[in-house]
Amino acid sequence: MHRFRVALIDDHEIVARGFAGLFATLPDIEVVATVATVAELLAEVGETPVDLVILDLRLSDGSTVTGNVDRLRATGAAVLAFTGGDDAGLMRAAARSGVLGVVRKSEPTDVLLDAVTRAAAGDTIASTEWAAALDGDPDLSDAGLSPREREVLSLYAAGAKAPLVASHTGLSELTVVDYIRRVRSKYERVGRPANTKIDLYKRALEDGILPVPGRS
Amino acid sequence: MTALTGSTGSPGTLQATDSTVPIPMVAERPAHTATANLTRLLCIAVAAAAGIFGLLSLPSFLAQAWPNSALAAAAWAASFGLPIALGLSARWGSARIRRGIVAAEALSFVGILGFWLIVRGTPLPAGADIPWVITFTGVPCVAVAVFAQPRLVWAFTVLTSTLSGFVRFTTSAEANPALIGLADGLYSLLLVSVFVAFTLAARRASARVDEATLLTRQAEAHRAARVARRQERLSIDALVHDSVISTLLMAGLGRTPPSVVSGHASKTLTQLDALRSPPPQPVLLVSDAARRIGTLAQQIAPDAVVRVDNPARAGQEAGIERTVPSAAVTAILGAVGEALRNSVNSAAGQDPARPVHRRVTMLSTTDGFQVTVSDDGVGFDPALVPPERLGIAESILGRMTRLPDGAAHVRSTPGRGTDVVVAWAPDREPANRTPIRPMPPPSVEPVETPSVEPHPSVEPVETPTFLSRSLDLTTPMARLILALFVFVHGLLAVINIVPGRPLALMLGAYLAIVLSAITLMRPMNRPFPRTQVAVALTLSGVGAILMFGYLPAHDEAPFAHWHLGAITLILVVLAARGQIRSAWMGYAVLALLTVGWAVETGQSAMVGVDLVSRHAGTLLAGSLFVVGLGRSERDLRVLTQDDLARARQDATTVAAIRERKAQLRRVNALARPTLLRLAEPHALTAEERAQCLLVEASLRDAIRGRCLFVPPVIHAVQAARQRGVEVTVLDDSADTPPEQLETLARTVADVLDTIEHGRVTVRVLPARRADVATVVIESGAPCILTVGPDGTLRAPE
Repeated sequence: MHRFRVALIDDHEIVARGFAGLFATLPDIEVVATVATVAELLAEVGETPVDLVILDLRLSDGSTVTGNVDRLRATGAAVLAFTGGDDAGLMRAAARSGVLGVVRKSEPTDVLLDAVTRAAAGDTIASTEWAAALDGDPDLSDAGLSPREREVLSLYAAGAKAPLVASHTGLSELTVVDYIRRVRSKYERVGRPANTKIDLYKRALEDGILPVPGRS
Repeated sequence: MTALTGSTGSPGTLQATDSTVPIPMVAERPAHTATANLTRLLCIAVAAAAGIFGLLSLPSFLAQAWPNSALAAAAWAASFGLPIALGLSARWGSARIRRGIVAAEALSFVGILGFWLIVRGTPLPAGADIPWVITFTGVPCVAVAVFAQPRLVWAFTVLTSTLSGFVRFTTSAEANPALIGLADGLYSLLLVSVFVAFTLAARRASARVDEATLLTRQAEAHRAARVARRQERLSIDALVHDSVISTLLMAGLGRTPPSVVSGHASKTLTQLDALRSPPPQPVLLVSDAARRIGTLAQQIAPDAVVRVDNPARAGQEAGIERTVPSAAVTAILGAVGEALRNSVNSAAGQDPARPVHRRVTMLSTTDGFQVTVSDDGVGFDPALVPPERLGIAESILGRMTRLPDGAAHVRSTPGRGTDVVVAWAPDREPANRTPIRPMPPPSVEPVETPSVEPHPSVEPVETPTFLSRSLDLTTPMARLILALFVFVHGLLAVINIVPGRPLALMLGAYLAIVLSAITLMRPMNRPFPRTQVAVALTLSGVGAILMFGYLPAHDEAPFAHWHLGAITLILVVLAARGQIRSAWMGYAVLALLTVGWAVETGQSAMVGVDLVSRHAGTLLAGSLFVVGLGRSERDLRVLTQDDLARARQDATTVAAIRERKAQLRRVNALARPTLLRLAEPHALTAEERAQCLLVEASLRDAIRGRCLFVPPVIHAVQAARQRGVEVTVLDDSADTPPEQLETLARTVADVLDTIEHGRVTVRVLPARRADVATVVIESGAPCILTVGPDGTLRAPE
């Protein structure tokens, strides 16, 4: 049986190890590394490709979400963002760089396990927080979503899951899932234009390049 | 003062009571509003005009000398000395002094006119029959226009013009004095009205500037505060996410050994404490500083009256708080304490029963922070204070001079009380000022900052374009003055008809000059176009040439050369509208024409010079006015920019301090007790773990569901979670929370109270959507509800 190679990056290693232990209980998951930075992971796994990286949105090494996701995806790995409940800007930055989704660390165990299993298979992980961050983006119109796609996104953002969205919109559950996948890829495609100073500033805010006190 | 009891200090450092050492002067209360600037400038202009007209009037004054020469000299001195004093007071005098001078000037002028009417109401020798007193009516009128209400200004203008008409009437040697008096009165009215109208227009414009500046300043301060609050919030949020939430999750999920949890908890507590310690460049809110000074005064001199003096427009600046460096507050507290102790010990002198009133006055302005300690005690002579009396020398003056940007001044006169002024007054030099960064906390690792401006810089303040060019000539008042111009010169032309000369020439001259004046009255708030200036000047030139063709040589009639005055007035208006060069070129041509005419008609060239020279004074006064206006505007723009930078900086610092306090208070209230418990290594009970997760969820709500983090929702969420309901609260309204937040909060709390199990997600929607919030309930049959702007809950169809 094929087992997905999964790595965790979290600067609170103790926390990361806890999650690693949890995910290792999944039959088709093999946790290959638990590290604090992207560089460490790249050094540790070398040439062997990793299927999925579970990445903490905030790392204390001064790196940015965008930089981290870009580096990881360049190795062919898919990325699932892990967060304590960060601000929407950071999630948008992650979504623009092409993560599969954003999952809150404090979700119940079954939700976490489900998310990791599906992410390993390349599914979009449309958590409420992720959808709310995208739906609340003042520049969402740039993504050119269709009215249906916007509606589905809004319902996810409100906290509904696929079955409820399907019954609410009269679509099939598969169609809903397909819509949300398209939302994700359209949003990612908009990418991160940073042509003006203002854009740069916004991107900088999103990336959390702000005075971060108390880091140790 | 006999007992300047002192604190200790080495005599080597002593400096201040030595009279050779300059005592730094305390910064003036800021006076760089456009209105204050304009007032100062106008006072100087009035003084300059008084100087010019005083000299011009000297020959007639001497010729008309009154037998009582002392009284006459006093009248002359008052007429020109008072406006010159006004100009001198522009720098140092208070508004009250200036108003007093103007009142005195106005009264003395009316008095002298009355004196001429009553006592000297007899014709003067022909050829020199214009009393000196009516040759400078504009000076007192403009002086009044600088300070008084428009109604009063115009009343005074009409009164003085009328009186000067009557004076001319009673003193004229002409055959028809009534006509001459009427013409003279009206002509005065016209000339003075032009200057008075300019003065009033400039005052209106400067008031508008001040208003606009104040609004910009407030807007800018609010914007800076918003940015600072956001940054500060994000900083704290980042810490909370990273350390507090991680620790709580670690503990709550129970997958981590207790010793590791307690280690993390201690570290997190240390970080929270580090945030509370003072920032590296400490500043205090002015209100805090004032409170401390008040407390100090209460301790040392309980009878002292403590007052916080608001700067002129404090009412309108409400909400903008300033800051003072802590070092400055410490020095000021020390100096104020010493001044109060000195006063308590010595102000009563040898007579302990002598009542002494003490006052502590604080003043905070954009220029800094100033405290004055005054008493009405026995006082002393500062020059006689021996150096070894260190109280004032070291503890007040020395202390304040050592403070960067500090200043102190002691004023005392035996028997007249003592004022001690201490101040922190930083240079008004924005480039040299290191901005107070919004709180980089002490334990921060250097974080790479983006090369972009933390807050995109704003456009410079909209400083009004040149006041001088914004003089609107389409107002009813301007039209009225034009009508007066047409009428007065028509009258003058008619009474100066010379029999036997070609009337058509004079009529043509009159029409050309009137047309020239009318071309100036086009609706414009911008500089005159060149063509317009050319047309006006050409018409005036044509008028002048026609008039000189008409006039016989040696016409000694009082208003024979009325066209020179009329054209000068047109030139004055051009100058006032910023066309100074054109105006003077026009004047030069006019002077050449006049001299040419004099020579051509067989008179001496001096006759021509004499005719035009007195109009130069009028044009000079107008030009000085506009040059000064331009210069003062440039200064003002710099000051305004500076003021704005300071407002921005203050607002940033103040907002950051407040936001940090509020955020820390919240985090500490929510998480500190739990973190303290976790810091003691022990195996956690299931209940404790649940508590950790509850606190974690609450912190998350505070950050991600910010606008709904209010009591009814907080309690309902907590209760629901304790019942086992999984609650998520999201706020995507960013900086524009719903208007009916309370109603929304109540609705949300009510919904939560009805849920017994399952999952609830509440989301406040981004601004400008039809609904304000959504509620998804997955408890039994799942449903999606929306909350409308009025707070009503709906199930969408």
